[in-house]
Amino acid sequence: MIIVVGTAISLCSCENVKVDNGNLNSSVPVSENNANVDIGNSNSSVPVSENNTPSANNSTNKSYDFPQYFKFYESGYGMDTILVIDQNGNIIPKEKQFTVLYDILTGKPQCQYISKAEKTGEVNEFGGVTIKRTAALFDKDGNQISDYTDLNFSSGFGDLVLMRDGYGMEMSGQSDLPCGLWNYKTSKMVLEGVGNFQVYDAEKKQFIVSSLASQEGPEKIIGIVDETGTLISSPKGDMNYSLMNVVDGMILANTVTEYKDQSSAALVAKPEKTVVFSKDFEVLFEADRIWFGYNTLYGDYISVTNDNRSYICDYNFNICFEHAESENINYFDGEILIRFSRNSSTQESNMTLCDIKSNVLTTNFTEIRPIVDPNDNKTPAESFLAYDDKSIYILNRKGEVLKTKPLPNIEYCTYLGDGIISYRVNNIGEGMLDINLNTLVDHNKYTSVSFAYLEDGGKYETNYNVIKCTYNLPGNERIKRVELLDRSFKPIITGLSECYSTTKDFIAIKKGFSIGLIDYNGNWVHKYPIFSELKMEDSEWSVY
Amino acid sequence: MERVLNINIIMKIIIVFFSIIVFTACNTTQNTNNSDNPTSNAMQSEDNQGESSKIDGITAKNYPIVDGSTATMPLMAAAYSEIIGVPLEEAETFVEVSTTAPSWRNLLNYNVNLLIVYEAPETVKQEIKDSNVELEVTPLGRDGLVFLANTENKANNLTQDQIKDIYTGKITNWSSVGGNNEEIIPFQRDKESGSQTLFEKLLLKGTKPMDAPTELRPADMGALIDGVAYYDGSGGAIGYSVFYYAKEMYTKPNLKLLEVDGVAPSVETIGSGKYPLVNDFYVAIRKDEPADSPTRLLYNWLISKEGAELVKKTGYAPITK
Repeated sequence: MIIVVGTAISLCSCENVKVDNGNLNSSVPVSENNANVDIGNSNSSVPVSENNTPSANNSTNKSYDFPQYFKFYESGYGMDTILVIDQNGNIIPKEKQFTVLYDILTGKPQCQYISKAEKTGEVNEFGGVTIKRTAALFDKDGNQISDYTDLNFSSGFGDLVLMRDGYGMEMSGQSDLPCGLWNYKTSKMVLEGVGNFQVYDAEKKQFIVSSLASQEGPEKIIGIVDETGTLISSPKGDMNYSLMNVVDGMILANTVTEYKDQSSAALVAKPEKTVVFSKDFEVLFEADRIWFGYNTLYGDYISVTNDNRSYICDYNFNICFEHAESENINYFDGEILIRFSRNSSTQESNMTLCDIKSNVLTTNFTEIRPIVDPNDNKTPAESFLAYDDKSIYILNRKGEVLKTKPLPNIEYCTYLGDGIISYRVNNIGEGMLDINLNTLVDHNKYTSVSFAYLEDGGKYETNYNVIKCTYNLPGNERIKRVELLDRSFKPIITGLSECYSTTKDFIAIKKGFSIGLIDYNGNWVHKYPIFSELKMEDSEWSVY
Repeated sequence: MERVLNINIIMKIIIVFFSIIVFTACNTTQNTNNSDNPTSNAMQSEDNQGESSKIDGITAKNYPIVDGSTATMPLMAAAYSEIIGVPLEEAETFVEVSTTAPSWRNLLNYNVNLLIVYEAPETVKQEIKDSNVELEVTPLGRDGLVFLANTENKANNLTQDQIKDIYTGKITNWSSVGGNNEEIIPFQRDKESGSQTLFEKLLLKGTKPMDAPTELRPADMGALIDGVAYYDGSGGAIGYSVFYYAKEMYTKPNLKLLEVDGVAPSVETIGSGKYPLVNDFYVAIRKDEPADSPTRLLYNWLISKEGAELVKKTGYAPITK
């Protein structure tokens, strides 16, 4: 079949091509002959979650609390941004690209800011152009509520946002410029000196705040504040503490000793001990090193190293399990654990599933991983995923093999949650299995398989209803293809050059020389040529 | 060993006498072919495209790996579409380029089969000379170095000498060259950029331009066009690019292309050489390609009459003189 090329290369229009869906559906019939493609039958083939149900009658005028930005970038050249548009297809120039700040506790939008980068005309010591960055705060409706200054903003809580010199931090890791909790409704600084914070008690809306490291000294815990920024408690005495993290009401902090670095005459902070504080900053426990093993310790446990001994303690600081310092504990739930050791001379590694008395339940796997909800670090695993150089296995808590699937040369596998196991076979590709090791996505077909990004007002999250699969064109591996699968693992969109992000209404894609938004029926909603803003000459050499 | 790169030795001038059709190409991105459904059956075309094509010996499965310049991407897509018989938008998905200089290196290193590409920078030409790889390079079409100004600017024509004087700081006000009484803001490109190379090769010819402050030396071609279009809102800026990019790929409504020596840049004037600042672009393969290889077959087709027609049809200036 020869299809005569159109009479023109359609590249010169940089305008938004807003396609009328009615015309489109009638003028572009969906292929019914392609067994691989199930476009146009959205009711049966597209994601079924209420949160991501594609709308056959998608509304481009749907209202959102804050703009939905779709960013299109050129991979391979340092991710240069080609174009940013909103959900209505309006091109958003750099100076109007808002970043929404979300309440760290509720996840709801607080306000938004615009960050500007302007060339100063000066050349820095490395011969590069000096750029001055400034930012200003705006309310939900886009009304400016602060001047452009060299301070930056990040999410806070309640009516407070964190204001600090983010750009200075990028360069030096230290900042002497003012920072603090700033009330964006009253335009007043509530608590100066705050550079970081973490949620202490979500229910009571309490937060632990600390300063930024500066030339005056290291980062220090300031104390616990309520939602208004009022200090409730703070560390006692003269000792400085840098905040590590907060888990279950316990505050983990390093004691910090400052000394002058003779070579640079700068103040250097040296961690000494790790302490666990109560809410009133009473020291509950102290050791050489303490950490909460997120995604390692399942239940109320902490890892401790002290006096050259390593052990796992419960929240009452009773020793539950002691192990060699050189040995990693990859999983512990109070009853069973996964031990990982590597022979330092042969570099051979081994994973062993043990009980708490160190009785070996099973061993000789390349890797053993718990099958647990990635967002749950309390509930013990009911089963485990394991693989060696020949097969992949499901084990029970006794170490017995429940399921086996021959799968040579596995490079890695992991449980993604929601009944899906992701795996990669060395030099071939990636695939997905269900919990019974049935193939959902074949690794022979795709080089990479992952859930798509869910764009939500600047928050990039995981869209568990859309699976993004990538493969290289046979015979020309420079050409990448992307196709999207629904949760029944059927292709819903194929033949893409790239999929950047998704929402419940749109998919941001690149196909050939076009970028833009399509709906879940595969029809263009907003379409632009890639050359509209493309960074043309990022490589060493030029293009014409 | 004779260097095939030497254009004087290998150049096969293709003279095409077909009537020239001007393809404005604007606002045609929607509702053509199957282009409004981007998810049309690309996989099917990859998997099931027939073994036949417009050229015996070339199929979708053995189509050569083509590389080259960004500005030649539309021609690559048009060639694939024409030869394999797929819609243009689908053909576009088979086009990836590494840009001019890297693509020449890719050909030398056997990473790709064929280039549709602009002239290599001098340093890369030296690398080609120093290599043991012989290339066959044939001009396919022609592009021009064009000068851009804001549409508010009354000046429409500059001589080459006036442009030289502007860029050497001798002329600083548009009133001296037929424009408003307004300061001239001359944009330049990065010293290693292709546009700057053309600017120095075709226009300055050894004359040293004045130093440009960094804000008047954008890192990329699009930024230069933006800079000239919007600088200071005054309309006093001038900059340069290549014709196809400025005319077809990155247009701005408040920009115009200036005449040079009384000749407006166009497909016709660039193709004929009447426009004074022109340079060819090429198709290139390794000389050791067998006579019946898909790469050689594609090369032969591109330099044939049909290939020349495609160059015209795609909006590039053919070589007519």
